[in-house]
Amino acid sequence: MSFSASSNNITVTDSSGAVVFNTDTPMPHITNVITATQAHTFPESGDSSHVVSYFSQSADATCQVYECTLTHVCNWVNVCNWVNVCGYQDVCGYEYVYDWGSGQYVYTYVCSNQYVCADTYVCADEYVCNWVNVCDWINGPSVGTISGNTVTAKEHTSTYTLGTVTAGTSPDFLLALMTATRSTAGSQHDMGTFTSAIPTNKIAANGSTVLESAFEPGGSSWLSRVVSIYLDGDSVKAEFKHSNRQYIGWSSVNTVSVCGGTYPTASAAVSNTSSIWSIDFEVYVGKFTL
Amino acid sequence: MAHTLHADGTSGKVYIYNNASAPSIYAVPTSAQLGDLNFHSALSYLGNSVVVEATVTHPVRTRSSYETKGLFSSTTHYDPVQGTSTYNLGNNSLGANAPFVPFYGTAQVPSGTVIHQVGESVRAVSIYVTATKVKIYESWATFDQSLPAITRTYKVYLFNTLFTGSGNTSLAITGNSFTAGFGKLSSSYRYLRDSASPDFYVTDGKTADVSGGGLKVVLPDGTVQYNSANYTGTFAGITGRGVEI
Repeated sequence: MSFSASSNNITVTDSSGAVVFNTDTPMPHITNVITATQAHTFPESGDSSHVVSYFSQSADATCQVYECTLTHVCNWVNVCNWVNVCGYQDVCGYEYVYDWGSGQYVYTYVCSNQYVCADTYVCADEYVCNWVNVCDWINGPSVGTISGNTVTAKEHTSTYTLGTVTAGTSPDFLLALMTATRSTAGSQHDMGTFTSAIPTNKIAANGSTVLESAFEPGGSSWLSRVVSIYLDGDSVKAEFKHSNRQYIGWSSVNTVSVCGGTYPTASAAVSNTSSIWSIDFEVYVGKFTL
Repeated sequence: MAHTLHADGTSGKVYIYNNASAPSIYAVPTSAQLGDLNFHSALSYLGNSVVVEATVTHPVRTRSSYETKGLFSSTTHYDPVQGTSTYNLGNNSLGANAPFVPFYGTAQVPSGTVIHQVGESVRAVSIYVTATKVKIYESWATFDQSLPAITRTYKVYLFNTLFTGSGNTSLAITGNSFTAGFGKLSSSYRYLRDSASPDFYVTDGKTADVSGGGLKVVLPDGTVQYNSANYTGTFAGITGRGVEI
């Protein structure tokens, strides 16, 4: 340990030589301790539901229908028929012919050209076309309704005075503790309660504290709430600030699909974004030697 | 300008001030005189500082998912899951009312800060004190992604409130110790002191703002620690005062 007062400086060190006190590096003191309990309700942002009806021609395997289509079908076909075929031809045969020379009938082979007809079975390839009904089970059209929810964008700030310090003190810093209770937790319809890492125990509340957050798919925050302890002149204030941008939640979509019937009704859960907090503050107001 | 150490033999008051004025004018300091005082036994101080440092492994948080199968394909669905856990960081010998400054990793970030995020799944923490322990509270939520295990180091500066003097020693200087102001200034303690190479910063202002649904965090040392893409405000933060113990 050492104590020295020299050259406009007073220094105290501990047994290991570390500086405990030095007038060149001022040591702050606490001018006030302010305790206060502050309740705050973050208001509803407001929301609206979407209902979108749709007609889908796309494949809906659960919605099959038996459908026939008149189709012009052409094919090569081997067509055969009995045909009566006529023509001149030599017709020959043995017959008795009277021979005037001998005066006798002579058995003679005789031919003569005759017009002859006969039924003939004829086959030929033909290109044949017909209109036919082609029928099958197909994925049919469907109608449905999708519904979701949109949280309206909102900015909100409320500021409370936790206490005041003596006029003219001009403090330099605040060290704050807080014990918070969230009696009503805001939530979004698709993800549940807003994330909050504020226990019901005593935490540091120096500067600002993140009370609640909510995130979009992909990770961007769409809702943030903070409470900040700060000095405004002679007043120690607590500012509760809320901000959310529009949030469209389709992940709680209520989809109904029916086969060609009327559009079904569907509704989505709403988001209750309001949260109610009550916080016990304990603020140490500090001031350095100039 | 001179620094003056004065011990009043009658009242026992001890004070150190940064001028050569008569000691009597600081016997009962006014608000306007507070800036002149390096030490005054009638004032309150934060001393006997304790530092707690610990490393915590936050376990994996597995998402909840299930599949529905159609004739030609299957679809994966996710259920949001939330939970909380607490972890011990160390002992607290200063009681439940000890003001403190927490560090999350190397940053003096606000309580409730998200320290881990994968997609829409997040893990946020706050350091808190009980009468005997320093702990950390974790709140997590998973949706489309699981959160893998992570290891984080936390550091906490706790301060004893030296508001009331004890004993009857006004000023004592021995070979082993220095005490003044009935125990408020002691070579056995460590105090906050102004520093050009600070351990941390103190501030009287805000360290975060929200706008457009986004969050911006400006640490007390002036560093922009977090600025979400959709933040639409103009918050610049203020640089506090660096201190060491």
